[in-house]
Amino acid sequence: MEDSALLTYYSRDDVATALVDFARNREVTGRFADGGYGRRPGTLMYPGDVVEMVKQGMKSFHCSVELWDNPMTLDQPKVSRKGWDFLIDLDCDTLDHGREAADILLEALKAHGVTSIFTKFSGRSGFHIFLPWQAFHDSLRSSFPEVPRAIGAYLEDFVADEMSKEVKDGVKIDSIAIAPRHLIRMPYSLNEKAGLVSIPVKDPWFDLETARPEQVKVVPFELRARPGEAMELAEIATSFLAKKQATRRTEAPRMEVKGRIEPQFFPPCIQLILKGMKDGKKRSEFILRNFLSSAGWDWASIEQLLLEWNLKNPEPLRPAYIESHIKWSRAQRENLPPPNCDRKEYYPELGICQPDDLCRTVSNPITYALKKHRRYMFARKEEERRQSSRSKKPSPAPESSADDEGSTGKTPNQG
Amino acid sequence: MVSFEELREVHRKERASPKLVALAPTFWKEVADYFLGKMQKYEELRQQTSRFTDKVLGQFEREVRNAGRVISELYTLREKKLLLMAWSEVATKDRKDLRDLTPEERDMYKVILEQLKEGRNTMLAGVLAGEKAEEKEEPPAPEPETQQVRILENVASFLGTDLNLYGPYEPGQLAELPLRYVKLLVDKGKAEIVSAFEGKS
Repeated sequence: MEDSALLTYYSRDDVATALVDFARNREVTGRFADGGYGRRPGTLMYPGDVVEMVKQGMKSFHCSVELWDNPMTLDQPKVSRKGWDFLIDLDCDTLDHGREAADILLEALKAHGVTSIFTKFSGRSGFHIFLPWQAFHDSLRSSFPEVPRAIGAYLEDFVADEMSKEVKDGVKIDSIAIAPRHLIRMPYSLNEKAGLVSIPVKDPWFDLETARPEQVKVVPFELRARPGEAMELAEIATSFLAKKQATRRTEAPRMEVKGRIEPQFFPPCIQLILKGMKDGKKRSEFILRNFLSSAGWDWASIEQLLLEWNLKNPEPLRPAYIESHIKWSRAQRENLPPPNCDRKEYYPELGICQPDDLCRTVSNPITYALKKHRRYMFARKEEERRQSSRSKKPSPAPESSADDEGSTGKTPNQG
Repeated sequence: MVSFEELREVHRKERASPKLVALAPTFWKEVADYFLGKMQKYEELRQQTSRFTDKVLGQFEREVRNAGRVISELYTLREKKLLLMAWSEVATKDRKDLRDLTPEERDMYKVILEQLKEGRNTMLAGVLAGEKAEEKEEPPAPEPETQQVRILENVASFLGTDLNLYGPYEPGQLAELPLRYVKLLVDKGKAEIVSAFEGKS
């Protein structure tokens, strides 16, 4: 999309005002053509700011789902969170799959007694489904991202049987989007890749033409809900996740590592990640970080490896992203294992699940590495034992007994 | 209004503490509001005609039972501590600090305390003085636990102490209910007892 068309679109009063209205209490920044974000923390105060940012080269506008008393103080130690909106970020391979998935999810939400649902087109092939903060109780203010993640996981499981295989394969609920300070495309922002506008929609089967910048009609809206209307959903989802995690904890690998496991013992999925990732870099970083720490690597080595790996990615992550996650992990009491192999949002969806024979015997990539390493160590010890017993054995004398291997005229290996 | 998370937190603290955990004076009223809200939501969800309705109702019922279980356990824990506290006050004559109790619990405490004191004053004192208690009649046979009633007014859904969901009931409907709810509904004029003869016909 040409810069002049972009400027024409964002210069519209109704568009700039809609962006500013939605920005209230949210962290906001713009995105440049190279995919990089503008300065953070930032916000939008006046419609004039929108045009100014576009003139600086920003193509699209992104905001937090977290609501802050003052987003500009987010780089300070104690910041007061006002609340958070629940967001389902539907990442879809085609718009039709997105429409079908959004339709099913909206029906599922309504069946839970939630009616104040705000849906917007992502500007490409997906949808963003919001439940406003008022739909929850104030008691959940500090439960971000745990409770919204639980709702996301619960809903994904809840609707799984209703989705056709194609939709299930082509759509995923992006759980990474439910993370502290994660940004999502704002309503009425352009999607710079598709040249379409991320418009609010009443129905997922909306007319795509209405998302063309020149066709967009801004409809004023406000995220409002009946107080607490999604609390039942939150409670059911929290119980669901607690039960699931309890099951997972019992299944999680509990094997001690002595020293560190070297890359030659890594499973195929980790080897593939290490070659560099085009999509799913954040999930890959998460897998690698947990995998390496469970494989006995120290944090300095992990950081070095991740920063080197990042350079192999066609569009690298910001180094600060990796450094901050390492810092966080380092502060935790115990190392978490990487997600289990059956977590479809990780290995299968990233296209890195190419199992070999050993994979079929394990449920977590770290177990693979441990098993392979242990087999290697065992084989090596056996070899050493064999060699040392051979070297201790006296050389066969010419007059050795008939049952000596040497008497058959064969070397031991030939026997 | 109190949330399930908060209820669970109170329950966790009560279980971990040997003493009664301080509750807000309005705590039990808030719990009643919580369950009233739940039941209203339940009625609302039952009206839905989505392909997901049955599944959601199943999840919802499980969740309400969970909440009911947490509250029943919390009540039982407090009840036990309250009884021990009353016994300790009677045995040691130390006045107890009742500030951590809700008003309803304070009332119950006073009744228990009076009963225990009266027992000491009459039964124990009498026995020590060589007085024999009057002969009492044999206790009556245990009453049945449920009773059939005819509903006279609309009764909304409610969670029983057995963690079963009852209702909703409409006028004219016959329902087999635990005795404690029979009494409650009959006293409020919302139901009448169906005689054994009538019930069979």
